[in-house]
Amino acid sequence: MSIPVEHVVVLSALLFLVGAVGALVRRNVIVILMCIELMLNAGNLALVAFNRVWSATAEGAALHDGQVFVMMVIAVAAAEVAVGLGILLALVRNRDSLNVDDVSLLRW
Amino acid sequence: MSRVLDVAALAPLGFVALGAMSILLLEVALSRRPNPEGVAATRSPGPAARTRIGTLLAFAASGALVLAIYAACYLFEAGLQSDFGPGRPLLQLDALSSFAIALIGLGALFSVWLSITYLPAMRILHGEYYALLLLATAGMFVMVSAVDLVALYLGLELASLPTYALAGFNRRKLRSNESALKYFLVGSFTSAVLLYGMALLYGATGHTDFAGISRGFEGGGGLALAGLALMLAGLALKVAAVPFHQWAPDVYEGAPTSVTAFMAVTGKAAAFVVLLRFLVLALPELGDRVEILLAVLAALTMGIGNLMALIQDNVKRMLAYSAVAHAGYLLVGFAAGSAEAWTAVLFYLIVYLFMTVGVFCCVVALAQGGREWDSIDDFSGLAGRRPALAALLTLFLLSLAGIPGTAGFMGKFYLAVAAVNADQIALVLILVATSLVSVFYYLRLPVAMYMRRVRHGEPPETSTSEMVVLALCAAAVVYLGFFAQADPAGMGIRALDLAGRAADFLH
Amino acid sequence: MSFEALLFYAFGFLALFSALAMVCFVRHVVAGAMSLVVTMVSLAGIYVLLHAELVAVVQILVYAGAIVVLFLFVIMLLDLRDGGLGAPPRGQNLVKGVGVGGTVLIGAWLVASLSGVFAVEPLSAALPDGFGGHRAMGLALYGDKVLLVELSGLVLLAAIVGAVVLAMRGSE
Repeated sequence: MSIPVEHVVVLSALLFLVGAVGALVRRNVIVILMCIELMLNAGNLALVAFNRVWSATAEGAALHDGQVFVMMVIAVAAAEVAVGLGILLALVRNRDSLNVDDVSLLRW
Repeated sequence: MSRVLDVAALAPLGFVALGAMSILLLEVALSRRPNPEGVAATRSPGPAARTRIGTLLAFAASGALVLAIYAACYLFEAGLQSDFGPGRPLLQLDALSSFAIALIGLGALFSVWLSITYLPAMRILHGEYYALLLLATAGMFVMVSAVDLVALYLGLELASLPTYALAGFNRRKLRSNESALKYFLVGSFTSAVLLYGMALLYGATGHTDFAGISRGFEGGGGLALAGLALMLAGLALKVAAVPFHQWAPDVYEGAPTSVTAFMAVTGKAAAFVVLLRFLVLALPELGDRVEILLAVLAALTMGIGNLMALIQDNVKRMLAYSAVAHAGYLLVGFAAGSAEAWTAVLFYLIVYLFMTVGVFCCVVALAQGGREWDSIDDFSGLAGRRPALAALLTLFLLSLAGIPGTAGFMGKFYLAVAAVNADQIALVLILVATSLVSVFYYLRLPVAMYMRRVRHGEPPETSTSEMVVLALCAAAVVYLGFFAQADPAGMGIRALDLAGRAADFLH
Repeated sequence: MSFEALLFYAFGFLALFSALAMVCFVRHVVAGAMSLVVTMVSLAGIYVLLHAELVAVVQILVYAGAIVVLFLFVIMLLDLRDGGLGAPPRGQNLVKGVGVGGTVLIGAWLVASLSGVFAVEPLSAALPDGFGGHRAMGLALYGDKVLLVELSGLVLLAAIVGAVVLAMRGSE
């Protein structure tokens, strides 16, 4: 296959940057959460790509290190979203807004 | 080591995780009441019964934590080192991790005791509270014993997720919701950054275990450094070191105070031990290169933390900035980077545990009827009503400020000595100067308590569990601070010796 | 350019484009969630190209399936009055321009600076049979890394308890 691994890593770095910038710039909590998911996905992509790189030298149990990591990240991401949306539900019950600028009792 | 499953390495973690699960089951079992048709069904019991159930669950949680602490102490004393997993371990129970587990377990135990009367007083009693607390503690146990990036990541998340929920536990109070939301957004952003750093490190070295990373780091180059920088930024966010500290005051203020105490004490210990293990054990040759960076971070963190604390009127916000400042003091030890400094850092973590829990316990003891006294004005004239509580609070604050004769002084003294021996004179001067500044804001509370008129009605009675915590913390603060010099065989030297033995492992 | 490379660049472009759309262009949360799905599915395609078949399947099942559905569920549950993101950010066109331009520039710089970083030229290396398949991954996960699976179980337990505590309606 003729895909240079640099290009996969660059794609993941770009996705990570887009996600990070989005998480810092957007003001809607749900969109921020989606941007954080994007950052996690970028990490996963890098892990899978690097796993493919190192599969040439690793052997035995270490062969799938990166992919095992990705599985764990996916499980954790699901858990994180569940807790985050729970917090959001509790917040919206008390205050009818999803804009982080409205989260103002505590100074941001 | 050929054993596939070394149970000893998992004992503390297992006790706490099993404790969390049995609390969840126990709560359901205890809340069952037969309804009129004679069929067992879950109904909400009355407030008195709920308090009784809550106390029982707190005892269960304490039992699990005591077992975990005992197991960690046993492993520490026996000098055992056990790895979990054949060949490449994921968790490693050595002197450093069993020391940290005992410390974190103690912090969690104190938080449980603080919660026994605080939760009913704030009307937020649910059994899940203790389960979440134990799960977060389990996560920190994993963090401090992880020798693999994947285990470290999972431990970090296991420590964070329940803490987000605990911060928002007072879910009918808007401030608690907002605290949880902010903590969640900052925390998950952090862990995404950390994850990307880990991915780059894996890419540069081809390993996820620390030993492999250490071996592969030489040829890593830019990719490895970028990964390391992202990881360090993530960890700095977790300990609220200065460029990344803005979240701490808001989260500390909004969360229930017993949770704030938990986050402040155990979270800090866990994150610093991870930093120790990662920087000192995994990447020793890196130490010199990041020394200057750590020194700058330490100076900024001490300065900004202490200055911002001066202008706070809310006790919990003030304590948050003071926690930032103390993270700065600890970073001085990292900048010094010697065996002596690691000992000082670990000793400071012990000292910090007792004095911080003590202060938060005083705030918790004044909560009543769904609200707590958290502005400095609320403490006006307290000395007349509760002289003992006021005296203890003053003691803890003096210790945080580092007045000679208290444990806080000894902690800073050892850090300063280590830094002087490592030729970090400028850092020591900043440490001393900022400690002097800190006296001003720490003394605002005693001034209010002793010199102002009474502002509020009768404060609530201090409960037995709170008195136990206060007494233990006060004894530790006085003993570590005062008798340590007088009594060479005493606890003070022993604590230092324990820290030293844990630190010995580092080189 | 081989067929696989063509697929990779197509998926990569799609993933990046929809990620940018989510951050810079989209006005409604549901549309944002949909662009997230496109990104996730494109990434799953790339995973298949990188021989991570099981990860690709799990990516679609968990991310595109469970997580995005959870997002949509909560968006509907909250029933936002203004239906979305409130007032558009000021200088919308500027944001779009800077976002797209910046991404392209940084991408070009990264491609230039990263080429030759990897000593091993690996993607053409032969792989053992069944690499990344369910059998190999199962053995890896439930072999000497079984502790990780247990830990992720604890994480999920913590998340369930936490989410239930936060989201339940108070009875007291």
